[in-house]
Amino acid sequence: MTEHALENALVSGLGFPEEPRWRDGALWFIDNWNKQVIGVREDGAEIGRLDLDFPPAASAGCRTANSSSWISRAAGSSPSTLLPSERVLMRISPSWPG
Amino acid sequence: MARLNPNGLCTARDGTLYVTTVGSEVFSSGDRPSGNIIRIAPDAVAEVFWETDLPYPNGAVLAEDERLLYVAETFGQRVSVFDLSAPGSRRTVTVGGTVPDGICDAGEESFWFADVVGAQCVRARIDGEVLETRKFSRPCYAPVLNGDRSRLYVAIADSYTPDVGARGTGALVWTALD
Repeated sequence: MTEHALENALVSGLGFPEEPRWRDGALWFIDNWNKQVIGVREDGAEIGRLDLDFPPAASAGCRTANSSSWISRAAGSSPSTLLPSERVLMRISPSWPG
Repeated sequence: MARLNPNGLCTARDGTLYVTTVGSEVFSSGDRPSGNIIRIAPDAVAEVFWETDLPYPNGAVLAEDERLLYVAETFGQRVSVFDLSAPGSRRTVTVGGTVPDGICDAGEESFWFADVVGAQCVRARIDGEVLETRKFSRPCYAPVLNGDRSRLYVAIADSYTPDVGARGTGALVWTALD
C-alpha cells in the first residue's frame, strides 16, 4: 500500500493539466488536450479561461484572458510558436511555413 | 533556433523570457539529442542561452531572487541549475530514479519538482540534498507553491497521452506543507 500525501482536489475532470503558476493570488494552469488556460482561486472559484486553437505546452500565467502572457504550443502542433495571449509575437521554429 | 517545439517557459520581472525547446519527440526512442534553452529579452531579441547536454528540457523556473534558473530534464533525469551571475556555469542535481517534468522555486536554493513515474513531488537543494518527498495518487506533472508557501499544488493525471486525457482523469490537487 502506497502512502499518499493528504490530497485535496481543487479542480477535477481535466485532460492533461500542466505548468501551474501562481500569479496575483490565483493559480493559472493549462489543460493541454482541452486547449485551455484556466485560472482559479484557492477556494476553487474560476476567474478566467482562455480557449485556444492549439494544445498549449506551458503558460507563464495571466491575469485575465486578454492580458499579456506567454503560451507555448505543445509538441505535435504546428507551427511551433510562443504567443503572448493570442497574438503571435515570435516565431522560433525553423519549420514555420512562412 | 528552437529544437523542435518550445515547451516550458518562465518570465523574469523585467519581462525576459526563458523557454525550453525539447530536442526530441517525447514518444520517440533511441537517440535523445540535446534540447536547448532560449532567452528572449524584453525587446524580443532572442539568443540561445544553453544548448549542450540537455536531454528534453521541460519545466523552467527562476528562483525568487532571479539569480538561479532551474530546468528539469525529463530524459536527462536530473535538474540543471544555472547561476545567472556566473555565465556559462551549470550544476546538475540528480535524485535517483526520478523523471523530472515541472518545477517550481522553493526558496533557500531549493526547488520542488514533479517526478512523473514516481507519482511524487520532491524538494531538493542545489547541493543535491533531498529535503522532502510527497506521494500522490497519480503521476505528477508539475508543482507550484501558493503565495505563503502553505500549500503545494500539483497537476496530476493518469497519463499525458490524448486517449487517456479524453477520460478526464486530470486534476489540480494540493497538500498542506508544514
